Amino acid sequence: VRRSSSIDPELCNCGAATASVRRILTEWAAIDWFEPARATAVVEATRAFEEHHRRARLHEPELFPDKLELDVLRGGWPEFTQLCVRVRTQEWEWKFGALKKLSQRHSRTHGWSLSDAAPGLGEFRAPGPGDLFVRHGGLVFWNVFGIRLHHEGLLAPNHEADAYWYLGFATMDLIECIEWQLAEPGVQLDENPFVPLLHCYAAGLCPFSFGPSEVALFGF
Amino acid sequence: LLLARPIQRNRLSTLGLSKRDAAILELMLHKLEGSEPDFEDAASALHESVVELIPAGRTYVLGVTDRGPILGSVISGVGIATIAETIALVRVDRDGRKNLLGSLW
Repeated sequence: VRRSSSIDPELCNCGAATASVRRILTEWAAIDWFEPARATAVVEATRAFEEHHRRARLHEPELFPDKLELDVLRGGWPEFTQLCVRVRTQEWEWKFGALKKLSQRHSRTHGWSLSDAAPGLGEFRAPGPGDLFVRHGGLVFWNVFGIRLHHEGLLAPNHEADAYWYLGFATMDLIECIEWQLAEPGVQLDENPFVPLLHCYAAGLCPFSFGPSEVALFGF
Repeated sequence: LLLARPIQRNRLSTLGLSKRDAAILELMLHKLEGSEPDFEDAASALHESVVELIPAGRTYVLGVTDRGPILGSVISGVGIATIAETIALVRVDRDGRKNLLGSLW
């Protein structure tokens, strides 16, 4: 599955966080989504996810429990779809119940706001490939820099829908990762809890969370 | 586009929206009740609703029309835009195609 992104990392400018944000975006753009996991993927992804959890727990121990059950699952599109359906229909919501709260509290702690982050933005214009934000009226909005999959009809429509559904949520992790750097520009990337989460995707495994301490890493 | 019928609040659930999208839009419409909002009012109400209902809630620019931005959800691609002189609910797919769901007023 080939992919393309609407953002050009080298065109992004965000003050003191520019270098780190460009690196995050560059690594994100290089991810081969939904490809068969390479031989080292399980070790790399497991290590990355555990590191994500450890860093997140340093900030929000009540959201990220000490105990973490990490399973590795392998399969094809039917199994991927089953996992998507399971997390869509379960009560626990990983992104909203833990990750976004982690991000929100960090941004608040550092007094970061989106409107303050883009003081020089003029009135609305169509976003370009270097724009993280867009102003409209008195408000600032994130530019959606989504990923497009080019699979030449190789994916069934329901599998494509699940792939994009998953990518939408993964993109939220990218945004949290970038916002972490914007809120605390001096922080090293190896302190940002979302960086190793993105490394897990980059290793080729897709995390699915079934509870605060129960996660499966799925590899094709 | 001109045939788009206004969406009633009690019909939001019939549009195939997620529960979260429907709740956000319902709150947005509630905030604007009794007014004749312009797009900027609607954008502010949408932004407020997202922030109130979602931790670290964000509203995204999903695309543009010749009248301005399409503002909405990165997950579902559902957003609001000015289309044919009205504020409309649209769904933007990954290729940037806009599917009109109805007008909001």
